Formats: sequence, C-alpha cells, structure tokens
Amino acid sequence: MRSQIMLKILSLTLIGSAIGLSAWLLSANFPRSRQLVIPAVFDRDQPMLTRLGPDIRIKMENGEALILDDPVYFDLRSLPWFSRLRVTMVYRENSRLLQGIGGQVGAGWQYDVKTPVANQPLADGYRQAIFDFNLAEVYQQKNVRRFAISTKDAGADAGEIDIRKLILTLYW
Amino acid sequence: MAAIFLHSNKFCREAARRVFRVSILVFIGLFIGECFLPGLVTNWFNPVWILIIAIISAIISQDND
Repeated sequence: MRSQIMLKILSLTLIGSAIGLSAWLLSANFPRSRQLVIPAVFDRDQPMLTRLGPDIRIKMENGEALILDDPVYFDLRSLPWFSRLRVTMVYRENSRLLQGIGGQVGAGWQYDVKTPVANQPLADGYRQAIFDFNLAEVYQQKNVRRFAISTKDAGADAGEIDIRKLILTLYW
Repeated sequence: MAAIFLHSNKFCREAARRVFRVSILVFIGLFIGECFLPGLVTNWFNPVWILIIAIISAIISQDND
C-alpha cells in the first residue's frame, strides 16, 4: 500500500518534471522580452554562437580578440521566428580599419557587407558599432547563418583590430 | 529479511520502469523537435543526458528472476 503511494508520487513528480522542462524550453525559445541576447565568448564555441575564426586570423590577448587579417567569420544558430539581429561590437582600430559586417547571402563566398547604423567613440580609444540585419535576407542552412567581419590594413604594416565585446541580440 | 529484500527489489524495478517510460518519451519528443527545428533543444542543453537516464532505468527495470 505504502509502496503504491510512493510510486504514484514518483509518477506525478516525473510527469511534473517533464511538463516543467517543456515550459522552460518554451520560455527560453520565446523570451517574454521578445529579444535574446547572446554575448560572444571569444575563446570557445557556444551552442548558439561560434567563436571567431579561422584561428590563423585571430589572436587572443587579455580577454580580447585581435583580428589580424580579413575576413573573420562567426556562425549563429537561431530559430526561424527570430527575424532581426543586432550586432553590437566594441572595438579599437590599430592600423587596421573595420569595413563592416556582412551576412552570407548565398552559397559560397557571397557576403553583403554592411557599414554600421551607428558608430560612436567610447573612452580609451574604443568605438561601439551597431549593425542591424534582417535575418530573412541572410542565407541559412539548418538554422545556421554565417557572418563575416570585414577589415583592411590602414597602412603598409599589418595592423589589427581589438574586439573587446561582441554582443548579438535576436528579436522576434 | 528475504521478503523485505524481494519487496524493495520489486519496488525499485517498478520505479525504474516508470522513470524509463517518462524519460524515453521526453527524449523522443525532444529529438523530434530538434529534427524539425535544429537548435530548439540543443541551444540550451544536451538531451543525451535524458537518454542516459532512460537507458540506466531500463537496465534496472529488467526482471531477471
């Protein structure tokens, strides 16, 4: 009798946990604020956002990613109901200029590089650039979209761009 | 003593059977969701942990008597 009651409690707990897990997944994928913020972690891949690559064009220094060559890529995995993306980048140019960020618009090497919609100077020589994308225009495969950060040398010597922060915000 | 052991053994097997049923259904549901919408589940956690729970509970629930 007692074991029957305990089994019933166990069943109810398991079903409650399954419902709770589903509710949590739903709230995670459909955030109430209608936006999902993904800060980049430069030294490792995350489930939704890869690190910058290829490795040969990136150097890590003091927690910042240094772009040494052009272009540099990152992949974003987002679900279909997120229609807009805002990329916020805090960076500093060091004999290397930021040309823009572009989403892949077709198979292969096709990128639509955009200049920032806003670019303002910050303290200690850094700048904050904001890029907006309509995700419907970005080519995707299995919900993965690739973006390229385009840069160019400012002078004769090879320079670098220090990226302090890269934050992706998805809107639905 | 033997009766208590056999009874708790039966209880454990039945509990494991219930854990298996729920965990395998949850895993299948998550798997189907992930197939249709890649990233729906794996953007947040690895569902293979639920499969591991299902497998362990299936092993425990086996009646070897």
